[in-house]
Amino acid sequence: MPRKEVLRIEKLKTHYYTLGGIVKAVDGVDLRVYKGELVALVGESGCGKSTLAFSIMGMVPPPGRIVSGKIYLSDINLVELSDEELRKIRWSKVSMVFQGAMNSLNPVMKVGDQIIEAMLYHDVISRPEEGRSTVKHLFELVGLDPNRIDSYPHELSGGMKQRVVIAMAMALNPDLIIADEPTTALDVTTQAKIMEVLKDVQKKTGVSILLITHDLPLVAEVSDRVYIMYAGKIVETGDVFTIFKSPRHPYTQGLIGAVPSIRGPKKKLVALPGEPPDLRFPPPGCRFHPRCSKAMDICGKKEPPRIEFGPDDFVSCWLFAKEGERK
Amino acid sequence: MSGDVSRPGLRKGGIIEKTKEFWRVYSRIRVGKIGLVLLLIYVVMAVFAPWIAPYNPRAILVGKHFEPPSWKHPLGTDEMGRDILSEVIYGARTSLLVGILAALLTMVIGTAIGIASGYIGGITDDLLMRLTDLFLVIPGLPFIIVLSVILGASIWNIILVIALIAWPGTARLVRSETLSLKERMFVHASRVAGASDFYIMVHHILPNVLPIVSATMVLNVTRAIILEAGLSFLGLGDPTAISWGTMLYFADKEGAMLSPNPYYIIAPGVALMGIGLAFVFISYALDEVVNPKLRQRR
Amino acid sequence: MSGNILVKAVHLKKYYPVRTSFLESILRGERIFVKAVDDVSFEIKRKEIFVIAGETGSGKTTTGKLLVGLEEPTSGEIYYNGEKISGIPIKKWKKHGLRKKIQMIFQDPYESLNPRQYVFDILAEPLIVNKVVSSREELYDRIMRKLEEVKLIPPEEFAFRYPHELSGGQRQRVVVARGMILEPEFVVADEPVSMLDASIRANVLDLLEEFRSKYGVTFLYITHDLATARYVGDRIAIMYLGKFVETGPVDEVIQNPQHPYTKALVSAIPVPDPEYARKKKRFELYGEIPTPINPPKGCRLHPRCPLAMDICSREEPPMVKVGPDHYASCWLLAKR
Repeated sequence: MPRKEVLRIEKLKTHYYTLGGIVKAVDGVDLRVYKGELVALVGESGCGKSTLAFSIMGMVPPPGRIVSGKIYLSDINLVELSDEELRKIRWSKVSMVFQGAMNSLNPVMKVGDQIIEAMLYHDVISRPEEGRSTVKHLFELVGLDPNRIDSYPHELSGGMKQRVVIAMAMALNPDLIIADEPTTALDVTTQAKIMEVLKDVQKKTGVSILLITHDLPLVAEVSDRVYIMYAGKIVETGDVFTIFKSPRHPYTQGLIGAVPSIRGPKKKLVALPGEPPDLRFPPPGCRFHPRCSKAMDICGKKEPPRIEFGPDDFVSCWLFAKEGERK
Repeated sequence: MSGDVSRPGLRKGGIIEKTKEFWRVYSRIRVGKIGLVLLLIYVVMAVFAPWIAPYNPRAILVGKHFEPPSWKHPLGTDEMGRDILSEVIYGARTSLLVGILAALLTMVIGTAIGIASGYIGGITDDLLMRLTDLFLVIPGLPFIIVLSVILGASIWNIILVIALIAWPGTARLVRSETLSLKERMFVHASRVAGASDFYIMVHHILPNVLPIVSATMVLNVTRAIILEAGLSFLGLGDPTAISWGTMLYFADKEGAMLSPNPYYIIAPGVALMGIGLAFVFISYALDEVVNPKLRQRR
Repeated sequence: MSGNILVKAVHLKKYYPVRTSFLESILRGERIFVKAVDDVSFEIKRKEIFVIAGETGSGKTTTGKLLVGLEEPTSGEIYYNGEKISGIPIKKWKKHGLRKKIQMIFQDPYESLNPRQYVFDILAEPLIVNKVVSSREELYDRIMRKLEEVKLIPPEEFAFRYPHELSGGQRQRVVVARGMILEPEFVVADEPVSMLDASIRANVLDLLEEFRSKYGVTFLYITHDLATARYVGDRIAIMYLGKFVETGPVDEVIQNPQHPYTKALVSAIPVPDPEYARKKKRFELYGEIPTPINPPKGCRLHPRCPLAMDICSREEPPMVKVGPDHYASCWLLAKR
């Protein structure tokens, strides 16, 4: 039985037109999220993963804009929508939990009212009183005491605030939550709890989650499928077991080899050499080739083809191309 | 992350590149360019006064009394028969001198007190801040009048007096900036490196408050120019210096408004307005360049 | 002679008074304190990388600041090379010759470098203010050599750039170079890689190891990340609300945690192995870490500990030996 697609991104390009040149932050990305899935988008800072998130939300900050490509959110192409139409879809179909979101709560407004405000804005309810029972349900959903609805943000701990933020993201019952580094800067024990809450909410409601992060161990723990992004492009995707057990792309291998673990034998870590490229002037051919230990002649000349191993399972690397194609 | 789109690595931070970058942003702001052109006119007037001015501004009876504008005297003459255009041109010297020096002095006093107060803290801070409050609540104009009477009328005293009443604003600004700077990691790092307080104030705090102070400098110049004109208009200016304020003082005293040559009053007034506008425009543009948040909103 | 011990802390405490209004302080009748570090003792051996790990508010950073003189202890002593150094104000460190011996590597490569200075000037500062170079040439040589040692090669390329012209990883190397430029014996490294991408952390961590093997530098590595702690550290102390709850060899403490807090911490850390991650059982505590103002009586963990007993809320648990060089402070482990 084919799974229902919640998000389908096709050949998306989002560029920033800065004084210093065009920053190709997202440069031809294909990505899919199915119903009830937790998909991780992994990459280092500056690889364009946050820009991808902003593109989906229709909130690319100037001087950036979507140049081409399609973003289907349950069959609606968001790229073609007007600002007004986007505003309606944002939050009701796709919501976002971003880094440091708990600090974005209005300090002088009760947390419950902040959620009700979002509901009023989207015409789900017409009077504030109608929202209270919904908010209480939401609080239960994220494991918060429903009586906390009348608390102010400063009366809540960091973990509780993060739960409020998740409740707010769920307020309009969206199909997809984009979680952009939701636990960065939180302590590990708090992080573990928040991820548990997200997984729990997902189990209960069937919402899909696109987790954007640089934290590989976290990805290994919570995600179903993984996209690896490098310099504006997806270099590899697959299910989480394949990615971690038998990574194909040298970049994925490098990332995994660079991360220390508290389990298993103590190994010497090998950091990736060099730095990610300036996205205004990406290297020709494969963008990873200057840092790649397995680079061949062709890697610096031609962009690698996408080698498919199955549905949503591909790698973009010359190593996997047939001999004849490498010319 | 989107914040990293301007990835480092390629830009070399030379002074020339920085100036170019600065100019690229600045030149897109129209009022900024207008302000700059205006200011340039005044600077040219001040620097090349002896060559531009048709007459010696002090020479009396180059024309008749209160002669109306003519080809010989484009702005007419005053009660002593001096050429008004020449006086206005020379007046730019006084205004710019007073404005820039007073603003510089304000900056020096305010920055020194602000940094010392903010960085050293404790009793020093309390004392310096109470002193600042004192100067802030002293009614400015009466204080200036009294002081300039005591010190006597000379250009240098006027500069001193203006700086004396203007520094508290700068001091407050610098202090609050210093308070936040001294908790920055690089200041702690400097302490661990073994740097003394004085070294940290000079090498770490000062360079980081200077941009903000220089931004306010422009407005301080305007303020000083207007104050000088005000003082001179009240007859407290330096009678030996040719300044627009002094011109206004005599014009008013001699009843120029009812005379055949009202330009005696209008010319220095317009000159003052123009220089004020020039600096306000520049300050507005600088604000946009220095403050990237403002720039984005456009 | 102090033998093998380079740094020793004895009953170290650092309390910060909480600012309250005048009226409040009269009504309460006592001042309230944040007990950031509350009776901590430890020894750091020569050429060792000793780790203090803990979460926000554990007091790990304050402990580091006490050791480099940025803070003065409320009570307790710090000995360096057998000599008492606590009580010497930071302004006198230079005179006592301590500044050249004890240095710090700061956490944030964005915040800890003055944005208006060239890399060269940043690195020159410690050398100049401590008057360790006699000529311009010597200054230049030492800075270039240090830049090379932190792998900013070629050094001339990097010396005359501003921090914002470098990537995060390069900046952090500058931070390391500044900490090492006086060729210190003991360095406190406070979360030196927490702001960096995972793929380049190992590079910076390897620098610490290189400085240790090349110059015999002793490190105190402060972190919230047990995975990097395991990678570089020899011995570790787990800190919770101002106290050490468990100390021992890094691998031993992480593989075989004895204190409930350590157990919870270890089990919360994600493991880059999806199969293991799906099987693992987490050991969970209740609630979240409280503020260190008026910490709980008895064992500080007891309100959150699922294994708490009566005694835990009444008496502070002793440090108990649970293995070779491995200690934990928990009533469950104490013989009564």
